[in-house]
Amino acid sequence: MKKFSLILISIFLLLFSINCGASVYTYTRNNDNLYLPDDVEVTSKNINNILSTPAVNSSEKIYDYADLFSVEEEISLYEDVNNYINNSKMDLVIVTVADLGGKELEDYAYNFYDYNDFLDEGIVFVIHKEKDTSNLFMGNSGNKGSKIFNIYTDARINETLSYIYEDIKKEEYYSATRNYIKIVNGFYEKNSSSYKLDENGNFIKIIPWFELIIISLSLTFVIVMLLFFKTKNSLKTKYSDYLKSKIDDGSLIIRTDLDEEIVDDKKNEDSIL
Amino acid sequence: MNNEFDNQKQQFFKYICNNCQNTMFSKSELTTCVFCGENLNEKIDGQTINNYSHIIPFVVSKDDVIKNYKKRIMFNPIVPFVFKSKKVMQSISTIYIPEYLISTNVSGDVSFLAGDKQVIDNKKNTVTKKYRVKDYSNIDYNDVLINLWSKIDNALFVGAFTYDYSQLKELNLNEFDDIVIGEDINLEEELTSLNTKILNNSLSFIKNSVKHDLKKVSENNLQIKLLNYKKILVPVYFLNVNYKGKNYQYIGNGQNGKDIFNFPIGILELVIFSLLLFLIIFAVAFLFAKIL
Repeated sequence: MKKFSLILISIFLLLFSINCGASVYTYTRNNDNLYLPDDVEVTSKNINNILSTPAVNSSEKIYDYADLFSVEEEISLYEDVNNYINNSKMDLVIVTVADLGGKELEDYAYNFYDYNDFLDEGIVFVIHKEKDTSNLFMGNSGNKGSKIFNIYTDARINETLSYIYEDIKKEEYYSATRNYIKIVNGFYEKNSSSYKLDENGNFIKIIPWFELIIISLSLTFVIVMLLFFKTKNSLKTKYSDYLKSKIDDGSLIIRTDLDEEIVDDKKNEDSIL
Repeated sequence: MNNEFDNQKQQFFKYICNNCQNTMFSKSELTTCVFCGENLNEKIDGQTINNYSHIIPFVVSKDDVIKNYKKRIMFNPIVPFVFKSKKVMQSISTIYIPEYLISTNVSGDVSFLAGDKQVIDNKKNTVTKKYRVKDYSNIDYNDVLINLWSKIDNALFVGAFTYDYSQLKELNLNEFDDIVIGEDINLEEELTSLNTKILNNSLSFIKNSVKHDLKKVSENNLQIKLLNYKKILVPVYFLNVNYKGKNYQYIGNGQNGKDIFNFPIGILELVIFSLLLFLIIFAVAFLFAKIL
């Protein structure tokens, strides 16, 4: 009986301990060990934020606190994130969270990125899963003048989040995150300010008005000039060419009777030059 | 009786335009001048044009010429609108223009002082080797036309008046029923001018054949001789338009259909076309950029 109860309890515990998502290992920060990157200066103003920010292994990249992904999904996303990081040499951090600990979403996101040991340049993407709704945030981090700010502008961030929010609304978190990674990678690869995202998630090239006008003016000029010269050049035949065309080749004779070098130039021949 | 009948058939009216002094011959009534379009008031009957021996007949029809005209002019957006009007197209005249057809021979010696430059001492110095050259030449110019109507633009004349003279036939005034333009160029003066041009052309031709870098004529003994000549009538479709005080012409060769014109570029038409083109290209580029 005792043995049977033990088995039952073990089975019960096993069932309740199985979860379909991967767990996130978090280190506990304390005043003796803050688990901070070397470049972060601790002050009285930020100590509380530091202590309340989860300390994580920066190599994991996917921090699924809200359990929105399955293990397989997380592995797949991790692969995509790693490909992006290897390609761009910029970091990409994805966090899902249900409880912001009283912070604003934006503050939570930047604290998460700044107080963990991620690369100097990178993106943090946070899905805040509340009871009936989800909020999204994307932030970029880098030094002053970093290319990350040129690639991921406010407009592009808005376009990206707007696009994936359709899947978020349907609670298709994995699909939304996959698309998210695809889009940020796409913006990186396009590497030009001339692209934006349309409502279908496709990259479309935008040509600035000024360039459009210059191109149109140039093409117009070329076509008009061609037409101009075509109209003017209808009169091409010179009279000398007309006469040359009248020469009878059958009776043409040009015979060189003399062609000798002038050796003695003392006879005051006219100068040829 | 027959002679009288034939003589009647060879009778032409001579018209003189009081506006442009153009002279025309025709067996039928003419109301307007083919050059300036003004009404013809002065008419002299009992005229003939028997000083022309040969004629090249019309082969190309007026409809074909008008089609060519439309192709070249109507779809050219920068030619002024006035040249595209139906009235202007319909006023293309079917005329014969008098020409003098000659063949000449140029022969004789030309002596040159010639030279070849040689580079020595790795381009530090050049030396010219000098030569005496003497060429004998014989050049025949066949079927050269001398225009006898001053109203034809010379540039157009050279471009359009290329005829196949194997189609020349004797002029039969009894059967002839077209408009002939009267001569208004002094033939002697024109012949003298042409001889000079032909001699210069020959000299240039001979000079080009000298195989040296530099050449200068030292003695020119070329002589020109008229081999044969004919006064002929050549078929032309002719249009003259006065636009902003200047005359612009369209000429269609009545034998082979080759056409030429010297129409101006219209400023208004150029501006309108450029603007429309710019808008179209801009719209296409804008759409293309959105679709990409």
